[in-house]
Amino acid sequence: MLRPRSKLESNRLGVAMIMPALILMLLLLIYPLIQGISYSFTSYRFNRPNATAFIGFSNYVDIITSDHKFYSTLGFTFLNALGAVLISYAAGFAIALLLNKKLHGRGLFRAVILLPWVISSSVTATNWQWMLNDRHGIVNAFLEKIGAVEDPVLFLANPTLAKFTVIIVGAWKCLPFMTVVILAGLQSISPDLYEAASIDGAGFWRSLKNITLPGIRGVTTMCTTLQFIWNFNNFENIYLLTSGGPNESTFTLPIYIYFTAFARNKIAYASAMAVLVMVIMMVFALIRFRLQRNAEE
Amino acid sequence: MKKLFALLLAQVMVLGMASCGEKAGGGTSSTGNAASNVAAGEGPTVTIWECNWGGDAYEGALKKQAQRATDENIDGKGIKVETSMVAWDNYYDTFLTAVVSKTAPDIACEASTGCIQYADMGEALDLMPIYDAWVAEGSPIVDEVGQAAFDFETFNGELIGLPFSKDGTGLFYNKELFEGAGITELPTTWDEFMEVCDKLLAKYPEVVPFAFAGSDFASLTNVNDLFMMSNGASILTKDLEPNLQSDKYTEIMGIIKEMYDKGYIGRAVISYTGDDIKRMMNTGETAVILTNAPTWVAEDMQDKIGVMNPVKGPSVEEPYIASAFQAYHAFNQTENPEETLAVLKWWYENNDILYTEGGNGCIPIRASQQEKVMTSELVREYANVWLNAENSYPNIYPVQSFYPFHTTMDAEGTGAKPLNALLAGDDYQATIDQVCDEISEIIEDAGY
Repeated sequence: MLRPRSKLESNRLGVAMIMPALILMLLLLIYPLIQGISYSFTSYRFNRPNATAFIGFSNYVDIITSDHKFYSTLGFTFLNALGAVLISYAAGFAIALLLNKKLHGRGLFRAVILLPWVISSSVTATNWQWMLNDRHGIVNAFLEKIGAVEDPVLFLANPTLAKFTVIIVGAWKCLPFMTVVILAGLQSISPDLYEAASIDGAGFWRSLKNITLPGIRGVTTMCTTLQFIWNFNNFENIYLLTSGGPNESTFTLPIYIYFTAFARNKIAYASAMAVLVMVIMMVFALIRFRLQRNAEE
Repeated sequence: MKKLFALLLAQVMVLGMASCGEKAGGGTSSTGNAASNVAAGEGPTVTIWECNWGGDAYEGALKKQAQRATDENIDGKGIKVETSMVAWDNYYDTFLTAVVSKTAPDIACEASTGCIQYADMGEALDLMPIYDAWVAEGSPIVDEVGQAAFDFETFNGELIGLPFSKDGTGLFYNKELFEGAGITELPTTWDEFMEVCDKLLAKYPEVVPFAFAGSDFASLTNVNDLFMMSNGASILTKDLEPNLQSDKYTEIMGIIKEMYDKGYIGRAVISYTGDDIKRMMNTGETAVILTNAPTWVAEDMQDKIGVMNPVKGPSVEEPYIASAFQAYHAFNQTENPEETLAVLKWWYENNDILYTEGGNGCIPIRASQQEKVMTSELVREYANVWLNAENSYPNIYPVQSFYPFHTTMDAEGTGAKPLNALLAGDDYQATIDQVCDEISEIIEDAGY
């Protein structure tokens, strides 16, 4: 059966309307992706562009078999992403529960919670550096005032503490997204369920366990997976705060890839690392969604 | 009607994307055949990217200088000069990415090592015509700069950089704190320096005896150079072999470790920026800092801050002082080579404003310019004691001329990694071996 002429025209119009955005997306996303993948099979270096040769999987073999720094950096990258997601989810969930209640000034609180998200990373990094400074940072001043510490805490100068610091700052950055998404999930749960549970004698914790958590399972999977991927791939939050220091203790894969490409000029090797990271993230996302689907079934 | 509107909208969006394809830094290209006697600013555009040699006022000074250059109507070609200031944080990748993507500026002023890397890549514009013009004009610039500096910036017979200043670090101290601690003589050796720190710590437990910037690779490299060369140590030998396992280097690292362990060096220096330590000096929170030329000293602190003389290590009779020639260079990607050379010549001859208003922290290489722009007695004293000293050497010492892979080592602070490890409380000795392997890899990758 032939479709009506107007429907055909409507389809053509739709295609014409999305074409500019599609072209832009192809140029900005697909083209660099394909070029990056193609570089990863060569020996391309910025300072020796004319000596580029096809070397097959050599870069990948070198990374997997002999690049110890890749593995140590991968470890902290996972830890950083996991830590930021867990902390921001727990805090976001608690805040969302509060914001879901009929509080006075709820609208203002909902707006304020977005601040970490809307302020640019360069501004937040500068402010965190100032707040955590050992000499005149407000955090150390407070801790010393309440007698919690005798000497200033070296949040950004001690390699171990710096790791925790960047995870906390990362969690702080993720908090608005988690809160907003979980809040949306909470609001989709029918109040009748809570009423019925209340009539049956269920308290707060039982309602939380049997109604709230199952009710937001879908949004939980979505927001934690997305935030894990974003934190795994995030460059600017840590680079602006510590530049990967002190002594490379807060090096994540994006920072390592950046230095390999632009300081060592090894763009092909860096591209291979980036492709590996992409594959790792795709596998992670697949496993995550598969587990979620199995749990729902 | 709806279809027509949609198509018009699509066209507008496509045209909008097309207009985003202009070269970064602005710049309408010219045919290169612009006639003379063109009105000011109506001719080809020459772009200059310069790193922030001063402070907050530097960008304003650059733009003012660019406007003056445009109004000057250099050679009557109506050249329009545009500038962009590049932050030090990622200067290396900014320039490298631009060069590789063929969007480099016409003229650049960045770290001293930039010239050689891009010359090695075949991207440098030969600046010999400027030198020849000065010789033909009988300009005093040639003698003032000196043949040694021009030779330093020569690669494969081409002049790849115009050295305009000497850059380096020094030690500065708070006179009041020293007086209060009963210190009457300035230290000349690191042992004496530690005795001074001990007295300061005893008198002022809240004051950091000695601080420097350690949060970025560029700053830490400067710190590393000062310490290393004070004991005659170096990152490479004359034959371009890694030299961090030498006795002199091990010795000076031991001295730094001792200072760090005794609390003479601020425990958080690895997180301090250059601005942090200068603020600490201006507010009396630290007694001695290691940093560049004292153009940052506040007005009310000019009499309270002194220039310390270079301190030597145990293995030398006199300390070697690290310095670097900073130079302008140009790229042969330029669409207007003649205009680029003309602008660069003018810019070089007339850049006083970058010191007087921009606060350029380098010391002019020409004595006549030093007279004009160095109005602070403190800055003059620093120049005389540190940069103009007989034992001041380029920081690639003992290598005589630039090698291309120095830029790579500079960009990631390779030579400063052991110091980085020490200040982070990690095993710096293990890092020394690792860094020597890295340096060997860099040298091999560079084809040396």
